[in-house]
Amino acid sequence: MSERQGRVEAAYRADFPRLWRALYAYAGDAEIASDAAAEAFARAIRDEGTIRDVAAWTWRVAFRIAAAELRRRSTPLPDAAGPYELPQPIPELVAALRTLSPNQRLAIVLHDYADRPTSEVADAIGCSKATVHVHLSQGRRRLRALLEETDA
Amino acid sequence: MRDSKQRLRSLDRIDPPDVWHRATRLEPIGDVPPTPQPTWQRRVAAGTVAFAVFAGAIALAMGAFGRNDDPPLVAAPSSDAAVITLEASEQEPRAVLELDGAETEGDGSSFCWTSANVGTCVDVAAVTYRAADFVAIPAGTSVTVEGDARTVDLSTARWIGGEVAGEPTPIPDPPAMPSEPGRYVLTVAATWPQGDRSFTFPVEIEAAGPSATPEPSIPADAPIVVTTPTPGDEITSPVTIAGTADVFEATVHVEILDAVNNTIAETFATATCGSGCRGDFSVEVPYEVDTPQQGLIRVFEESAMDGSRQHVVQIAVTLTPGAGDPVAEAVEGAWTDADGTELPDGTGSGAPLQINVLEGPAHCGWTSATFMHLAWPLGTVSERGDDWRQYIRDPHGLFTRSFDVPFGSDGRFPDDAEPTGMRRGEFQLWIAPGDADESVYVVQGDPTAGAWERWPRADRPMLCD
Repeated sequence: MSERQGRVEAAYRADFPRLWRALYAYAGDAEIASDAAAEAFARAIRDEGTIRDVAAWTWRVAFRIAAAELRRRSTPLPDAAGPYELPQPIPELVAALRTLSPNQRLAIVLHDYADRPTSEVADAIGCSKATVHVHLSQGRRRLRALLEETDA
Repeated sequence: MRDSKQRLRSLDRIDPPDVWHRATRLEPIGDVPPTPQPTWQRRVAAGTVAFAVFAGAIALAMGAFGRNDDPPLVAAPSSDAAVITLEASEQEPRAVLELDGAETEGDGSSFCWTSANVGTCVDVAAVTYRAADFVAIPAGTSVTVEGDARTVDLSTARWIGGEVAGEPTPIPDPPAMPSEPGRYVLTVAATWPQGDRSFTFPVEIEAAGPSATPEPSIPADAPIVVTTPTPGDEITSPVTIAGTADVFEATVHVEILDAVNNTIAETFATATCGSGCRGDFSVEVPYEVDTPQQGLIRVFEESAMDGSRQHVVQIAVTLTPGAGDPVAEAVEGAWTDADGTELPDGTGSGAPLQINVLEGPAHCGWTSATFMHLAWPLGTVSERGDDWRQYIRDPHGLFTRSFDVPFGSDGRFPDDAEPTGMRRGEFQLWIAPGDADESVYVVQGDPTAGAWERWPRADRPMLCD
């Protein structure tokens, strides 16, 4: 294995499960999550020499790819159940996330699940950090309302 | 009550599939997933073809990955351009940069290469550059690519303090060197039927001569046209950036850079029409600088495919600090009661709060807003930190969607409004029983003279992490 592939693989081993779950929560589709993650790491291997922080880079690229794929499909998000047997209460969570706006969903998944800094979230959405906090605030409120209904 | 973070933790129970082998394409060819690849998975990584050849399956590999979809490069020679020549020999690919007759060999990355059904992989140590290595090139010099590579991607990254700083920026089409002076690493990623390889060139972009200082004129039918401000303008915060665009989903991104290339403001604007039609856009962007300085406004579209920047329009301007916001400056700080006694402002952990008014925190980019925290019910002092309300002065619309009523002085000053006695200088806090749950009023002197503002209540407190 080449040195550059080694550095990317280390990032993959450390970060991939979380990235995949975040992509899945965002896209609501296991195939999009896998395709976007695989493509991002493939590009990271190719471009490793120009990447300083492989983890941050692959997160950004993977979410851009997933967002582009969702736009390309231009159809409602796929059924959250998908081919995956998900432990409870994840289907309810993913279904609730689907009702948020794409930017609210992206902000919540990246910030509240994946602990990415707001500067990265702002970059992913293409907005200011102030706007990220607005998306977070509104998304959290809506998510809480929906899931408390489900809990009740 | 469970919060969003706790709920999302349940995602950790999902066991994701392993896609590493897909990413590397190191798996045997026969194990390629039977589903068609998405269209955006347009290329495969470097090792694929070479390793497939080791398995004696070159024809299958080439067919399976559809490299033939990539059009060959078309050379477009130009006398004053920098020319990058990409050549594949039997042993290895090379890249040479030619400018004014001088040639520089690119530093190639590790690579795998296949020739005459023999695959070889070569590991190359990473290079670093010294000042003398950088090749001087005038800003904006056009770039021409020649040779036998099948595809090529060009990007540049800033070279600061002996290393690459920040993410690489793709070079737009038609290719040209960056317009901002400084040291860069130019990366040329090329693919051939035999394999692929990246090359780097250290380049020093030099400011173009005075004759080239004005921005190149942009045709009116360019995807993004900025009409305001114009190059050379002296601007003050907030600056209105406006123009026309025909871009995907009508979204243009805007950023302002200061004299040392820090991004000091970023936002986006929505044109009145998009994705195939031209619309107008206009956005008011607040920024902060301490002293007048050179700056740059960039307006661009993000590729729907990979998020890269496209159709970048750059406007060189002079940034000035501006006059500031006199109301914000006057109301931020300690407030008093009617007798002039300073009221507790909750400063410090566990300190009591009656009222505080402060500028939004800079690290969340909220400095254009002013926050008021008011113990509630009115006149009480909050000791526990959970019986207060937040009102926001938001002249630039940072939080518009969090409010039930708008900030400002539109409409009538409510008839039932009464002064609370709380004040700072000539500004007083008034409350109207009819809308006390939605807003407070900050009044300068006499409200009938029209000098008042409605500060909406944040329906949930905006807290900057």
